[in-house]
Amino acid sequence: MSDLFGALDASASTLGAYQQALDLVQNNVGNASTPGYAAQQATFSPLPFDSVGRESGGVVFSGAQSMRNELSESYLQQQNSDLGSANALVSSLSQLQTAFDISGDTGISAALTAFYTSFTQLSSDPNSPTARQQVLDAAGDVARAFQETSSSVTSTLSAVNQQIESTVSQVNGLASDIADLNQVQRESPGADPNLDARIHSDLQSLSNFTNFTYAFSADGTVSVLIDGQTPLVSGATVHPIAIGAAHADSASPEAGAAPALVIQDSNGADITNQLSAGELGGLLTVRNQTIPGLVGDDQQTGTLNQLAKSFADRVNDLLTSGQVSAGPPPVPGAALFQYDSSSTARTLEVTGITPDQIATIDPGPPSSANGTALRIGDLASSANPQDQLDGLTFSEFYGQIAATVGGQLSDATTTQTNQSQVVAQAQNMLQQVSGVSLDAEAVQLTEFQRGYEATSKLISVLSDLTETTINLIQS
Amino acid sequence: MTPFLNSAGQIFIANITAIEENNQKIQQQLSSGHRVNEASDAPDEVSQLLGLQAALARNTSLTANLQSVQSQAQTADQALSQASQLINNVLTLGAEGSNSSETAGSRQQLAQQVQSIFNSLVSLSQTAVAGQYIFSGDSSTPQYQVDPASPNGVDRTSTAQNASQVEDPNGGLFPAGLTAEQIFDARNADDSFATGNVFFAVTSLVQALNNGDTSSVNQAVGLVQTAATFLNSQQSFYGTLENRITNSLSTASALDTSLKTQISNLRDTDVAQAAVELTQGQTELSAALESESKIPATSLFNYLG
Repeated sequence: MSDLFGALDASASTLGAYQQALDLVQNNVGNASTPGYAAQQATFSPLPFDSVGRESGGVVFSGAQSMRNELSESYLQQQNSDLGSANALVSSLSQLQTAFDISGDTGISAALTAFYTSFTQLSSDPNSPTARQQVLDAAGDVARAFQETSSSVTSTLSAVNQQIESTVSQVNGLASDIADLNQVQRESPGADPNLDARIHSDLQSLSNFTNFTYAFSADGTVSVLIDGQTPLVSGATVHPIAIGAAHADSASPEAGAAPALVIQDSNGADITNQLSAGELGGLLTVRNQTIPGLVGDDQQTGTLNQLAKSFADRVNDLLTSGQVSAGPPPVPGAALFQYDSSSTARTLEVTGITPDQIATIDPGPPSSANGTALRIGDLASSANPQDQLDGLTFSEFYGQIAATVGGQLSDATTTQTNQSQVVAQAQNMLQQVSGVSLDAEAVQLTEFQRGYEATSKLISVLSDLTETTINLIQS
Repeated sequence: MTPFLNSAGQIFIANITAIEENNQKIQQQLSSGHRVNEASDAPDEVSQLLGLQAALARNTSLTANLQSVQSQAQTADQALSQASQLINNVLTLGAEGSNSSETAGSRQQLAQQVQSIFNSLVSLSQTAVAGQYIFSGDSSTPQYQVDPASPNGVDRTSTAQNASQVEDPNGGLFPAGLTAEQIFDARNADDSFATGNVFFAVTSLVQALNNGDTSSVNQAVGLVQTAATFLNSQQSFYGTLENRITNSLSTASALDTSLKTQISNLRDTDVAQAAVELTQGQTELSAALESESKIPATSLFNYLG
């Protein structure tokens, strides 16, 4: 009799184990599309059985084993970070590239060409008031082109600053969410696959924005370190990052340029160099390297300013060494351009020169009535080192500036395309390792269902036997 | 967020996105006719492309200048031909005036005719093309006006010595013309009248005819003969100039073709190749979409009772 009751107890325990297993399958299927969710596998532990020693045996549900593979998780995060960086680069550089037209129809390239042409035309009729006015108009167009290009680059800088601000806010927001989840984990110790899914989902999202490492503690909470160095989340504590600004050196090459943007940790330490990937890494590359390379900062003049200055200085040199009239006495020419050296391209403008002050005479020897005008027109393709910048004509140097931006964009676009496919493959690999397979869950469901039904049948038989035994005793 | 459902679909999306972006790029190349529209299309070629565009614009301007100077040179050549003819007329009148049978009155009439020719020579020195005085150097006004009181019969309003130069496509410079002083009023280094000075020679003949002095007339005729020879040598300059301009225009035309070809090779779309790539891309896209649509979207749950 007591054996019958023991068998009933064991069967009840088995039934409970299958019930919990079925609950697990239900949770898996319900969360099959939940971001960050890893499939849970039921584990059973057999109870001791000894028919002589009256151990009833049976099985208990010993918990759920997570199929999460942290290695695959980390790999996907790394690929996400690289993709995030490429996306940010493509977005920012695409906007920046619009400032550098290469069609020859607009922008600096077109203005320079028209300027050279105006002087070549003036050389054919140095005394023409119309030709002289056209030179002034073309000079004004050149100055405006440089100003507009500089302004456009500055606009991109402002947009990138805003994006960085937004990204930093998103990073801190995710960090705060992770910290809250850590707090929940502490208050409810024990494995919770759904809470775990939320944490890993936040980590995957965070990987789009920045590079980091993470580690789980024994209590189930996760710590996040930016670049493996700077704490971002420690248990339930958030260490938010913030935007700072480097000190601008007034004696720097381009004192008027915006200083470098700095990211600080919660203690105010500069961690900018640690942010090498993710959207933040990409944006900082454009903000602190690409754009200053064009319009300068406290470390460099910037190629756009370099071009504006060299061009303006060379034209002014040729004009002031030329003559308006051979006299006697000879009347020297006047400078055509002026600028503020703190920000050359942005401030380039035509002086108050009048048409009759434009020098066309080259005093030589040999002297020439239109020699100066011809020399300025020749700047379009002159091989004279004095007419060049770094071995290139001014038009070619501008092309090189545009090519620098275009080259970075081209590389970033290629990386973006390739990395999108890599991320997709990494996601697929993670899904295969950690994800919920509906087919597998259906098989498990069938198995547990049969086990449950069999155990239920056994209980029914044991119940009948127990009743029969009781009836025997009564009779 | 990282959805796990249908992660294979993520791969599919990434792949077709790459195909679609490439197709889009090719379509833009075909519609614009340009392979290089932005710097990122061909970063390694942008600098060279802009340099070629600037060189082409320069060549176009130089060609226009050469054509303008060609017109001026032709006009100057014609003016000097007329001047030579006028000088020959002066010589004829001078020979007539040197005849001892001429009276003072007839010589004065001859002087008036020579003076009239002199005025025509001064007018020729003021020849303009498209509003530009081609014998005035860097001055915007005629270099000479008639002045009977002057020893050479003219008032020199400027001493412009800086004649303009014209540039050929290879960067070579050559004078675009001569000044009126160089042609009609040749001077020595000390600014005295040089041998061959046309204005002085003709004015001298006018004065000699008015004076009625036969030996003076003969002497003046000699000066005019020397001036005629000098004038012919100055006219030969324009013949040489016209030849050089013709050669330069030929060079400019060849350079124009070369530059345009280089620019086209760098910038323009290879339509045939682009059309093939687009067709291939569209085929790949269709095949990918069709194969994806055939993948069953069921699981074992669909078959459980």
